[in-house]
Amino acid sequence: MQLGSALSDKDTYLGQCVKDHDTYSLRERVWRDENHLEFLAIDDDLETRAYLLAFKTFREEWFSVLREEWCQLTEKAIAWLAAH
Amino acid sequence: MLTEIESDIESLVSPCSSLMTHHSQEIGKTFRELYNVLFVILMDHLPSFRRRLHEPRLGYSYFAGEGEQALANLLKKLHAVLKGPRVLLKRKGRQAKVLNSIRLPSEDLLELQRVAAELRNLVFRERLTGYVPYMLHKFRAVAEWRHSRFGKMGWSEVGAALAANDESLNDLLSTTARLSRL
Repeated sequence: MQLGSALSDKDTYLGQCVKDHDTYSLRERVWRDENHLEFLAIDDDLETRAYLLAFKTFREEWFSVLREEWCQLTEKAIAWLAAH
Repeated sequence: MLTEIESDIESLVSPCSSLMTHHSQEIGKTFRELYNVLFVILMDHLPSFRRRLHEPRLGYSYFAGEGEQALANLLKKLHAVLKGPRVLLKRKGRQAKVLNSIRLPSEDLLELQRVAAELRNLVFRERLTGYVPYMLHKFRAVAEWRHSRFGKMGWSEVGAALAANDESLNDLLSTTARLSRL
């Protein structure tokens, strides 16, 4: 699978949540991904590491605390949402 | 093909769930891994399950294109290896005595572990691919990335470099990630 070779709904879902200020769906999605990561990845190749980095980049930028039922957005995320 | 995949997975989840309790630790562990990944596919990626629960799809896809074919091939392998145990469980029930009477040759167990690993990788990439455009968009703001040979590449070219395990990307990704957080 080539990254972004043809962006589909699945690739733009997070961006759409951000654009719509839908932090509820964003939390649900990111929490589920984080929760399942520990038993999913097994390879240690560059592609796997890049995917993990991409996830970490987003997760850390948007959530300072992320739980199943609630979350705390980072100051940067709050500022972004207030400005857009 | 999607309906076929859904019914395939539903029919595999149940025997895997039963065999998780097998008294052999290795067999139990292998089936636990299979059950976990099959359940995630069923629960998050296939549309019927979430529709039945009236749950939103959360942007999860069902492995369209190459991914769908890869999933179908892996399920075919699972069916082949699990044919014997499934027939036995269907005929004799799922009591502990029946479950523990099931023996798997080591090559079958290895094949199941390989399939579980491939399924995990497939699901991992399917779930996380949505974060990549965000990361690359962010990285383009960092001079080190912009001035590198990847700076002007489209996402598909970066993806190809990743798939080819281009080591020059390795350090650059870490450096860019660190700088983009500053």
